[in-house]
Parts: sequence; structure tokens; C-alpha cells
Amino acid sequence: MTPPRPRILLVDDEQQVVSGLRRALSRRTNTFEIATACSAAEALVALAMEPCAVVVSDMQMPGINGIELLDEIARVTPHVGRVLLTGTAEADAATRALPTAQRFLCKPANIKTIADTCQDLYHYAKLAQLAGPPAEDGGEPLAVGSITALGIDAATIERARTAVSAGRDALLQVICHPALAAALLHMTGSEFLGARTEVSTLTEAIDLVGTMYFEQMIDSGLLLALDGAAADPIIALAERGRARMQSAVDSGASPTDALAALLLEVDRLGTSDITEWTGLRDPCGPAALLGLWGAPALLVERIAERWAAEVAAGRIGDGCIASAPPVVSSDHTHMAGE
Amino acid sequence: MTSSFVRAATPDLQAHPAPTILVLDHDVETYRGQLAPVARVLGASSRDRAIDVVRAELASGARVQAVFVDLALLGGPGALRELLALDPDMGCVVVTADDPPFDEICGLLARERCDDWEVLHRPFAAGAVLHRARQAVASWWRRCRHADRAADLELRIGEANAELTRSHAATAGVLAELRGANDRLRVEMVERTRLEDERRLANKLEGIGQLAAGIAHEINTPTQYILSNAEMLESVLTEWLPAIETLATTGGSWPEEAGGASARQLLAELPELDTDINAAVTSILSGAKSIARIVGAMREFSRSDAPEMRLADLNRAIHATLEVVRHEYRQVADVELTLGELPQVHCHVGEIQQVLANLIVNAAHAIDRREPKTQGIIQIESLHDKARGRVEISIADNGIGIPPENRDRVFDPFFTTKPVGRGTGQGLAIAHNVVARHSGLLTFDSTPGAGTRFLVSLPVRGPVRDRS
Repeated sequence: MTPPRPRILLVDDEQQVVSGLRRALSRRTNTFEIATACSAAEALVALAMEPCAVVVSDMQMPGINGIELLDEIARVTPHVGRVLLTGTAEADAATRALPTAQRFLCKPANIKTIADTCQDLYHYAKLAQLAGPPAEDGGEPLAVGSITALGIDAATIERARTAVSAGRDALLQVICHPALAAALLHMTGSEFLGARTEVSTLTEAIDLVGTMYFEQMIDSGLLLALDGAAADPIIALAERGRARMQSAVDSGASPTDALAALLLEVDRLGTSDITEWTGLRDPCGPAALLGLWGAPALLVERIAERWAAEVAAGRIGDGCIASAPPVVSSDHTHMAGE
Repeated sequence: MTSSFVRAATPDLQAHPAPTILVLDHDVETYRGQLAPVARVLGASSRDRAIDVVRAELASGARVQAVFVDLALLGGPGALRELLALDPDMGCVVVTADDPPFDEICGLLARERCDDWEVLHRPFAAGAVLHRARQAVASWWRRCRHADRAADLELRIGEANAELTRSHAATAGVLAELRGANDRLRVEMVERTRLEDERRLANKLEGIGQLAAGIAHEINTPTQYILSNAEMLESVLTEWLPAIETLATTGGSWPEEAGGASARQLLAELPELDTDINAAVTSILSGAKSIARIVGAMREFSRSDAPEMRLADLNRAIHATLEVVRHEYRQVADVELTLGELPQVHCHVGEIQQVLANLIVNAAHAIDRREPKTQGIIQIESLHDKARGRVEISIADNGIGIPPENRDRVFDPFFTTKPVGRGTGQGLAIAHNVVARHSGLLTFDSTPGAGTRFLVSLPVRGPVRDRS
């Protein structure tokens, strides 16, 4: 007996959209089975009855809207990939969706884009399952997919906010921070900003996103500001990322590789609650997180390689803060432009 | 910053030295009770008395900014005529329990202000007296500003004339001066018309601009299913075209070497494929029609470019408007239409559509602000009041309603209770002006918690000035 194929659930209040997508997707892919729902409520019932790999949802629907639906899915079944497919032209739509939607696609989207996005999310979800520690009760392993916010110290957020009004060059001074950089790469993965070009440096990412959307990103809920003692471990983690980045640069690594070094532990900043910080989590795969968020494939690959090497060398995991490399306090910010 | 902006845009009772308001009515005290804090109220219970009051004011170098005239009072319209003869700038408020005699009152006023007057209905709604007084005084200030401008122009022409006398000998120079003055005058007038056109265009653009995001969404949806279905058909064709050719060329013998196996497979899959292809084609056609309908409605919507009024079918205008604003209400309310048989109405149909769009979007917002959130109803009715020669369109919602304390500010520019980004507070002020330009009436009644009903009443034959 062949194992059941993974399922894509299409959700849109316009029946014609889901049936058109179903017809086209069924012809395009043999990997997935296609299911449809005409409202968020219907989608939640379908999800409860049969497991799904990816949900592709419209945004504006009567009753529960697409963002609320993905929110619920992130909470209940975090391993399910979350895609928003919307025809909206509102400027803040992409940033509002940032915490919960792993991918943001614009209508009209061609079937290749939709199929590739689903394939991609399915792939990274599996990668995350391999990377994460097995759950104690034998259930689903801790899912990277549950991450809907990244912890960051309030001082850095404040500096970023000030930098926004000072312009692009000032932004480049603060962007070398794992949480800010990851959020920015998540943003560039959104189709709303036009070309989904493969960015390879943070400078390119800032230029693609622009200061207005950068500011919206700061306020989107994707970044969770922490104060006082709660911020200490994440400050240490960010410092360690920067130190890694610096030594990568010093040893002549490529810009992508240096960026990978900065982001090596970004998943540990992740939290599943955009209002409350639950502390540094166990490492569950930074490559999977950035892959789910649509970061450039090359970067994700470099992160995965480095991460595997660090884990093999025992430098990642429990107690990694204690064994952190010495914090380098020099100015690393010039890195961003390279 | 905001408050000074509001002040500049809406000269009200507080913004200037206390205005003088004349009340030609029996119950002066009712008015004084509402107006006393902000205005000097003079009462008169007869026509002669009123004329004396205005004469006295003028003699002392003062002006009466606004007058309330009760039409039921002996010689109401006649009194108004004589008062306006004394001071044509006075803002007028006609007090009546019925519909005012539009044509008669318009006839009393100078052409350029023939629809610039207010109606105060009995019994008085809370705050209505103050509101009408504010509008009438504002209209006085507007006129006096224009008057100043005209006086200024006259002065400049006078100067040019004086120059003419002085340089009597140099006829050519004098003529040039005169021509110059004339040109300046013409430029001034052209400039004024241009400013008015620009303002109107800006209002129109604001209307379309605010709806653009919603329209884009409504077009993107059918585009999505047209695209998916077309891609599906393309893939079917690519896959099966060779097999179809085999079937066509081999006349049913399907030899293996000419793709016979694939042709047989096609035949086997044909029933299912056939259903899918039919559904895809149907969906593409319906999507294309949806887009055509939306684009057609937008074309009608932008017809306010036409400088003159034309005959228009307002039921059709309602349908086109609904198409354009569908995105704004679809998620929160259903629309119920009860459209009567209407005659063609002489109007700027694009502007009327903007008014309707504003009212429908407002209705949707009022419904959206209810708690708990459930699907609401927007009822749109149109009817022809043959006896009065008017067409009425009402737009009723079961939204949150307008609290009594806000009722007299509903039509004030920049007044809004909506959250930032939801409205500029201009919508109803613009709607009010547009309807007034058509010699129509825009009124409403509202019950907090139960809903609001706006009524647009338009004369079938268009505004009074266009008929003469």
C-alpha cells in the first residue's frame, strides 16, 4: 500500500478560486493531494479531520479572516506550512501577515509559484523535524513552524526605530543583529514587495524593502522587545552571532557565509507567542526557520552546513551560552554592506 | 495643528467676532437659548420690524450675517426679498414644517448663490438651530471674501481708468493699460474657474483613490481563477495534442507506432477530462465577465469629467456604484435593493455616484463597528415622487447609529469619529455640497444602536439655475 500523499488545503471564500487552483495544481503535481475549503471555519474542520502539509489561504474572508486562520494553525498544528494568497493592494497587508504567514503570495499567482512554494514549505518542515529534538511524549517534534516572533532587546529596537528616520545608511549600522536580519529576510521573501529577487546581502534586502516597510516590520509583532534581565540572554546570543560573523569576515568568507554565521542560532530567539517571551528555546534548526520564511536558498544551505558542523563539534545545544566564544566588542557594522 | 486646519476650512461662530443673527419668527427665545453664547440674536416678529432692524444695523456700520425666516409667518418669502434687497450678502435660513418652495426662494437670491441657503425643519432637532446658524454665517463669510475680491478687482480697474484719464494724450499707451487690466481680470477669472475645477477633481480623485485598493482586490480575484484555469487548459493541450493528432490522422486505427497507446488512454480519460475542461472554460468566461463588469462600472464612475449636467438613470448609477464599492461592504453586509421606476434625472451622474459611494461605505463602516460582529444589511431604495418632481434615494444601515451629540456636525468638513486611516471626515461634507449644487437635499435620521438612514432627494429637472 502506498503511503497517503501529503495534502495541500486551499482556502478561499470565492469557490471559483479554489476550484481553479485545484484543477491546475492536480495536473501540475503528483506529490500532493489537493483539498479545498470555502471558509476558515471549514478549513479548521478539515484540518482536524485529516492532516495537512500546507495551507494556502485567502486573506479577506467573512467571519474568521486568513490571518486569524493561520494564527490558529500556528498555535494548534505548527508543523503545517502557512501561505497567504491574497489579491489585496493595501500597503500594510504584508507586514500584518508577517508573524503568522510563512509565505505571502499575491493574486494572480501562477500555478508554478504556488506549487513551488508548497513544495518548499513541505521540504523545510521535514528538515525541521529532523533538526529538532524528538518530543518527549513521542508526539510531533518541536516545530520551527510554531515560531511567530523573535525576541530582541528593547535598546536595539529603539536604535532601529531612530535609524529608520535617519535613512538607509543609518539602518545599515543596526541591521547586523540576528533577529533584525532574519525579520528582514522574512520580509524580502514576501511577494508583496514585487520582485522576489534572491538577495545575498542585508544591504540589498534593505534596498528591496525600503524604510517605510522596515518601520512597519518593526511594529508588526514579529519582533518582540524585551527589557531588563529578560533581555540578557538574547543580548549575549546576538553578540555571539556578531562575533561569529566577524571571524567569518576576517577569514575571508563570502558575504553569504558571513550572514549565515550571524544567523546560526536565530531559531533560539524564536517564540510562539507574539506577546509573551517564553525564553531561549532548544535549537530546532535555523536553516529550517529561514527556509520556511522564504530566505534565499543559498543562504539557507550555508546555514545548514555550518549548523551541522557546529553541532558535530558540540558547540551548539545545551549549555552553549556558557561555552560561547569571547564577545568581540569592536564595530562589525561595516559587514552589512559587503 | 489639526484644530487650526479645521478652523480655516470651516469659519464657524467661534472663529470670528460674534456674528449678528436676525430671527424673524414668533419664538425668538428658542433661538436665543441656542445661539446666545456665540452670537448676538436680534428678534423681529413682523416684516416691518425686521426691515427696521437691518436698516439700523447698516446705519451703525454693522452687518447682519444671517437671518432665520419662518415661512409660515405672514409675508415670509416677501420679507426675505426685502431684507436681501437691503443686504444681499445675508446668510438665509428658511424655517418650515414642510418642504420649502425651492423655486421661489432661489428666485429671491442672486444667481451665484441661488442654492446657497439653509432649511430648518420644524420641529427643531437637537442642535439644528446652531448648526444652520453656523452654515449660514459660514456662507456669509464666503460671500464677503468673494465680495472683497470683487471689490479689489474693481479697485484695480478703477486705477487703470484713472491712468487712462491722466495719460489722455498717449492713446496707444492708454489702450495697452486698459487691455492689461482686462487681461489681468480675465486671468483672474480663469484662475478662479481653474481652482474650482482642481478642487472638484481632487475630491473625485480622493474618492477613486480610497476605493482603488478595494477595486484591485475585486479584479485580482477573478484574474486568479482565469489564470489557474487557463494554465490547466494549457497543460491539458500540451499533454494531449499529440494523441489528438494521432486520432485525427489515423482515422481510428491507432497503430502503436503512431502513438496509439496514448490515444487510447486519452479516450479512457476523456469523460473526466471533459468535465474539468468544461468547468475551466466556464470559470474563465465568468471571470472575464466579472472583470468587464467592474471596469465598466469604473468607467461610469469617472464620468464626472463632463462639465455639464446630463440626463441619467439613477438606478443604473446605483448598480454601478455598488460594483465599485463592493469590496468595502461585502465582508460586513448584504445589500437589499428596492428600486422603483425612475425618470431620467438631470445631474452630474459621476458626482451623484460619489455621494452614493460615500453613503454606502459609511453604512458598511457603521455596521462593521457593531459588537458582536455579524453580517448587517444595507437597504437601498429609490423612488419617484411625481407630485414634487423629485427622485429620492435612501440608504439605510443597521449599524451603530449616530449619537445625538454628533448629529449637527455630521456634514462639517473634517468631522469624523472613524479611526485614523478609515476616513478623512470629508466624505459627507463633499456629499452635502454635491447634493446642494443639484438643488437637492441630503438628510438623515438615526437611532443609536439601531442604524442610520440617509436620504438623497434630487429635483428631476436639475438645479434651478440650469432651468432658466
